[in-house]
Amino acid sequence: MTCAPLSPMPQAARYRRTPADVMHLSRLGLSHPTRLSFLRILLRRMQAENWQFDRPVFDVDARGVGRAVYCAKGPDRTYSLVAFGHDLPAGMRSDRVIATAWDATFALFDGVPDAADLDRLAANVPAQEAGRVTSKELTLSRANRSVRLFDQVVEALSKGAQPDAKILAATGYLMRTTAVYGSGKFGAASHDSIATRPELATPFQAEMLTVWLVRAFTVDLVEHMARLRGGDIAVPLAPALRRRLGVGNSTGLGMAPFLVRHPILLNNWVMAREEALARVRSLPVASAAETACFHTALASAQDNANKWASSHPVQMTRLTDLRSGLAKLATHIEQDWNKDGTHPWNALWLWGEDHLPIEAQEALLALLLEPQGSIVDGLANCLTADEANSFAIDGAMSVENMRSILAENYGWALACDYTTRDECARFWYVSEDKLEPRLGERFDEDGADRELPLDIARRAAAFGAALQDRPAQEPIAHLLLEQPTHRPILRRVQITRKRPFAEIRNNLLSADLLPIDMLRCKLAFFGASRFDPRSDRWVRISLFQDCPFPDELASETGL
Amino acid sequence: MPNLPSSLLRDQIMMSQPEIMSLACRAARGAGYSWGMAEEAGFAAVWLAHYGFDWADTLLARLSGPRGSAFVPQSKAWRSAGPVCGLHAGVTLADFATLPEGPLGSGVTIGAALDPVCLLPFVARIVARADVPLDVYCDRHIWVRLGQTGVHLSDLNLNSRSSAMISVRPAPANKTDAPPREHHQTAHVSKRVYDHLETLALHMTVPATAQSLSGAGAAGSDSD
Repeated sequence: MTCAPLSPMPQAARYRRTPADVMHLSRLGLSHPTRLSFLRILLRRMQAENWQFDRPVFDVDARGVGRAVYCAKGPDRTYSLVAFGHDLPAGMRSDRVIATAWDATFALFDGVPDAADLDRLAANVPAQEAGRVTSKELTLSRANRSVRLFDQVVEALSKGAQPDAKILAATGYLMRTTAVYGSGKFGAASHDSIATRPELATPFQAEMLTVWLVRAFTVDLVEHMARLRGGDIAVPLAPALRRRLGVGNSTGLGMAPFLVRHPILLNNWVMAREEALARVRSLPVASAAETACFHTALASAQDNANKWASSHPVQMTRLTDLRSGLAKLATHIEQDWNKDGTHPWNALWLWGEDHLPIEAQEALLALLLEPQGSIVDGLANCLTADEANSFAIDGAMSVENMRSILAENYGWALACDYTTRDECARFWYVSEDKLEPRLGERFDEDGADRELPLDIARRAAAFGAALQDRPAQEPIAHLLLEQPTHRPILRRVQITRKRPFAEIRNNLLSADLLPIDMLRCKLAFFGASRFDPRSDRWVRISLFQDCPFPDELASETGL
Repeated sequence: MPNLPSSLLRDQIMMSQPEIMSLACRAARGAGYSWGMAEEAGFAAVWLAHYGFDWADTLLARLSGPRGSAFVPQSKAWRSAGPVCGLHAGVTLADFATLPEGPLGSGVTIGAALDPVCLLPFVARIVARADVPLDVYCDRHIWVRLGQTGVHLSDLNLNSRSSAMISVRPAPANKTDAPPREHHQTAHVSKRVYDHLETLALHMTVPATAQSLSGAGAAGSDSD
């Protein structure tokens, strides 16, 4: 559903972009994190509620082997990251989901674990998918060291020196997670079972808390190993350097279908972001404080763009667009933007639409939200979704009504010829070994007979054809009874009736599909930065880079 | 079959609702159900587990048993040549909920249904959408009342019936003596049934090839 009827700023409606403007991967795939991203929401809540953090267990040897517990205490509940460090031979280090061993493994425990809990977790968490957790755990995850940086940092600190700042910035993390499983995976608590807790109602809060505490663990680990190696000579990592470290993350195809399988969540995430932009554009004036904040955010974005490296040709082009676009924006703001004119933020946005490449337009969106927490942050309450309540099909809806919705929300899909080689080049399937989504080449690989129903565009076209010969007033239940193959797309079409941002408007079977665009779209909502594709279906990112650590959270400004 | 976690080698496996949803959907698809019906099987399995029914045995029986006869929804009494699939009948009953062929007027007799407990999640869906309590009759006896107060089961013995005559009617105003069923966030499944369902699910997966493995990961080394 939509929060629009409850909006305190109904005047924003006329400034909203349409789904046709927004829902293409050529734009979604260039998304940037915003202040509505999930990790920002988590940090703001923990700061506002004065969460307390401690580390009751840290029993790790000089090789990094052992266990640690980090507790995050909110007003009503405590959550604990249970970390296990391992001695992983270099030859076994792989980010792929098919890996079976990692440098560190983690679980987020609901409460404070006792000795029996820790023993149970020690027997299962290091095994990851081959183990089993319980409803007392909220997430299960693992991470590998950045071989290059991790050892250099330990070595430098052990000798009483700081690591080279440039080398540290180039990698940007000591460990990268290769999976963060939540919501019921491998026996963990389902999201539905904990969603009534205010601190976990926003999507992926347990996962974000896990990664944030993993970040603290990675720094504690290098400092601890340096102390054991160097003794009294060893020094802790300088706060300014520490701050530049995030947690890396390697993400592959497994994440890509999420946005397709959860159309209501996708709608709510995009709609909240678009409503935020519209609200800012509708503001009649720009205060001095807001303008100053925008300048600061722009400078920070330019700094981030300069540090953001990638060797993937697609991303290299996008980075060139981003850097040149942000420079152009900075010049425009200094020389031409009339901040004292009417609706100055809207004027800036419209200028950006005319003069900036899409990569920089989407960065501008994120920048425009930065100074406006008072009218933006409340939209965090619109990000969640009760998907179960929307699963039922309205079989009484008439064929005529279905045709109308289909034409309005799937017109982009109806005209294509899906029998041509390029338009059905790929197929999505589930791998037998890991039960993970994969993308196959239809004309080169076996398995298309076991295709997943992610061919939304093709299904919409087939459904449209099936509707053509039906009586206009016939309830759609009759078509479903005769042709049950249309059931999944019919449900989606009904969902879009009140959720126009529910659908990625691309043919996901197409030869030119870039799955990394789907990954970046989702990861930007998480709050990820420094997207670095390693292929067309695999991306490295950083989470929580330049964000506060637990001991810095209370005094942090600008969250 | 995928390598089973060592902790699953016990007789009983505790599963979360998302796991139940996933396994039921994959197993139904692997058993040859359409994707739409497979997703409904996932919904039904979670609902049954949530209310403490034996979701796994029921689902396995349905997926490996006879498919059931074709049927035509009609007002008052549906038409079929023989026992119908409880899952398909339930889905169709929910699709036709507010139409003359549905149960909200004076009720409807579905006829003989296979694994009739599969119908209950869909009757509950109708109750939730229409806000009307419904009674499910099994061989002319009240079996379950579903309403705002929950799921009230009158006859436990009927849960394991493999076939029964089913009718669904608006419930009278009087209260039921049966207490509401408790809710469960997790459910056990025996390893034997789990293995059967996973074996069915294998038919919707694709074995790895060198090409699929290389395409799924990063180009180049993982280490940095």
